[in-house]
Amino acid sequence: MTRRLLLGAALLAVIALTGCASMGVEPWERDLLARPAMALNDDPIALALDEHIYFSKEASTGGLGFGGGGCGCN
Amino acid sequence: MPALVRMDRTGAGWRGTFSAMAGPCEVLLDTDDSLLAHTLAQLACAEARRIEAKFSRYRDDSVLHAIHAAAGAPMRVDDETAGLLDLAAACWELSGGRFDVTSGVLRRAWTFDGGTRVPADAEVEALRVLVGWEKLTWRRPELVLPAGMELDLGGLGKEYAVDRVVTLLREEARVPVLVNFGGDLHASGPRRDGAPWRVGVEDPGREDRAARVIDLAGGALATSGDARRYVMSGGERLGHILDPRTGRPVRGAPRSVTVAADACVQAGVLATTAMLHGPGAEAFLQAEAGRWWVTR
Amino acid sequence: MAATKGTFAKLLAGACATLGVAATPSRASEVDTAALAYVEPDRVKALEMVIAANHDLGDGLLGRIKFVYDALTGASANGAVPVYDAVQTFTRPSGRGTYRIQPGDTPLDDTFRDARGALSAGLTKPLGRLTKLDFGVYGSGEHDYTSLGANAALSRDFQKRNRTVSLALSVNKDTISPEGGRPIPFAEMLSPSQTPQRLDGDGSKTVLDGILGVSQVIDRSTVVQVNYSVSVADGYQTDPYKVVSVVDPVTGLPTAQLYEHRPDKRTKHIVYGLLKRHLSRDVVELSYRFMSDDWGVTSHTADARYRLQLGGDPGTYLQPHLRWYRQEAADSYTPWLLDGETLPEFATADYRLGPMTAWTYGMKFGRPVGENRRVTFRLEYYRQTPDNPADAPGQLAQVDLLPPVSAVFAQVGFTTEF
Repeated sequence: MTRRLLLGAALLAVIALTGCASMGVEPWERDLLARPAMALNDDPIALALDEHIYFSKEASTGGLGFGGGGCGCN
Repeated sequence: MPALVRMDRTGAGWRGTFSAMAGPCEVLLDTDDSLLAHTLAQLACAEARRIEAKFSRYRDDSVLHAIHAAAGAPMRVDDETAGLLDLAAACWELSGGRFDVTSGVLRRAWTFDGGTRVPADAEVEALRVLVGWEKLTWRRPELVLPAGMELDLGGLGKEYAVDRVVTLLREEARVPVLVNFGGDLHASGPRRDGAPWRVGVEDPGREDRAARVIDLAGGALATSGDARRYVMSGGERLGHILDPRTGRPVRGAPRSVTVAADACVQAGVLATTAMLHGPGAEAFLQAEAGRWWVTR
Repeated sequence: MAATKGTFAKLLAGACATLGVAATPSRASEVDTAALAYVEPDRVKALEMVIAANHDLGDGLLGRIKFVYDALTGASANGAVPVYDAVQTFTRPSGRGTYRIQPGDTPLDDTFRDARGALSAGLTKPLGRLTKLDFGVYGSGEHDYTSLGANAALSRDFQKRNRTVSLALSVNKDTISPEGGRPIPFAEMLSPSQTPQRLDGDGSKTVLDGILGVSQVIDRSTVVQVNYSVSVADGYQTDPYKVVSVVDPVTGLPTAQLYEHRPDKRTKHIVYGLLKRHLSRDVVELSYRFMSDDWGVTSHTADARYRLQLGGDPGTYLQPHLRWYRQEAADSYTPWLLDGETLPEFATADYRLGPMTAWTYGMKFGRPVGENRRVTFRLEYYRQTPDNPADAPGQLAQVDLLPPVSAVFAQVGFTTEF
């Protein structure tokens, strides 16, 4: 059941995005988006350190991107 | 003469506009301090006017006028003029004679008004006699320019002024500025919020809207192009960049070349030299420039 | 951006420099350094140091390299149950020596004094105006564990760069050579005087990950990202240092400590969504992640950050942070086994695979330093509350079986642009 829920959510998200072909801005309207604070990953080092901490304390990892490989954290 | 600078508040700071160097000039200042913005803009305008006056072909109190009036006699020039002549010499050598500040006289034969009047060969040849950096003697600080020859620093003057203004404003205050004299521009660094300046570059075919938006976090941009000055000959659009070695417009030159570099003078020389390479413009830029854009 | 490449440009730059005008060299490199201290009171303490550099190699080619060093000390739960009124003794993983646990305490193995070094490097190469290719390699080592990996990603922009679609793949090979060798699943933990039987050789596993991501500009102030990823792990995934207690169904006292056993195949599916919106001066960031795997673990992660601009300068900010995490147990998770019942195929008492809720509360401060530097300070408090089982037999109902675990971590980071 959760598998189907998951797939459904993902499909919904993709459809929602592809359906809105008119979204977006002209190149000269990207002033705010160009600010470092609006980057999708504005602090990769902090993110990698946090992922490492949560990896060693919880059972879920990933989904965000690739920072590196595994470790033998207990 | 009082500098007439118009100040406007923009979304992120101030803009000062004035006219100099035969065109519109603007200085964007990323600061909320209105007094500082006014002061800096006045400084920019004063410096632009000073350089324009000093190196103008038309003013009879300019250094160039004095040089031409010397009619072949040796002339001692000041440090600033000497610096520009040194640069002109270097550009002439490095470009294999394509970049030549003595080629100004050729404009007497060519009027780039969009019409079809093309000068006769004899006319061009008569003027070519007066063209060629190798014909003058430049041994700092003394210049010997043969009578009849002319120096045209238009190809360097505007970019030099842009860089000079950035230097001055940097010394005066730590405010991110973008100095733009008719499309030749220089940003002193990224804006206060860390974002780059977003610069629109004209598309020569469609002067009403920017074709490209370029991110400039610091550094200069210069554009060489035939957007408004050209002549039609045999159905072919000939740009206004004249090849000093032939006395005629460069054939197969791109419509427009924009180059980014650390300083405006650098960007300008790279853009002009690329145009002078005609069909080889892209190859030249590929080998020499970091970021560049060519429109054909 | 490399502004000078060829001879002409170099000599020209020299001539311009002699002219004495302003040159604004483009910032081609960035170096980041960070140090993080992590403390779980009475348990693990760690220090992590990072140094990373990015460099523009010209032509749009970007290189990156990162080195991480961790030093870890302290004690970590070994999976056994506490005993209310007696001291317990466990054998160290090496087989040499024992450690004693006081009555009522969660059994913690304090053998872990480890140092890890990791090195990663990557390259991004543009393919045309709208496409980018990225490659990376990774390697890390500690005294009993090595990991090697490689990844590649392709991304392309659409609709005037309002949408980016990317596909990334990675493969990792991890090898564990545990102290004392790998225990046989469900073998009993023996005293140091006895020689245990062990599995041959090192344990290794291969992990394959794939992520499909779409990021979309919604309007001038809003951007969203959605990722879907699949991770397949194959190989030895048991923790060789952890045990499951077999307890008497009436008294709840442990009768044996058996080494745990986890399945050697694990497939995870993850959906992740992120939204960033620029308000008049501040930026708000919300994200949600859902994970489900074939070990039976499902989890939800919700994260919120609010970047509050301080004063007129967007580079100076305060950013509070809140994270909520909820996890349901793996099928093989069991805090104990009942004596007399048949052994399941797989069992682990590692609380990290059990049901739990965790909250993180944090604060980050950042400001520019000079013209080309930035400094950040971060402090976070993490509190993890495992669900305690309701039907604990005998004495287990009286002990603090799965106490909440707290941790505090603090980070200082420094970035310099050249």
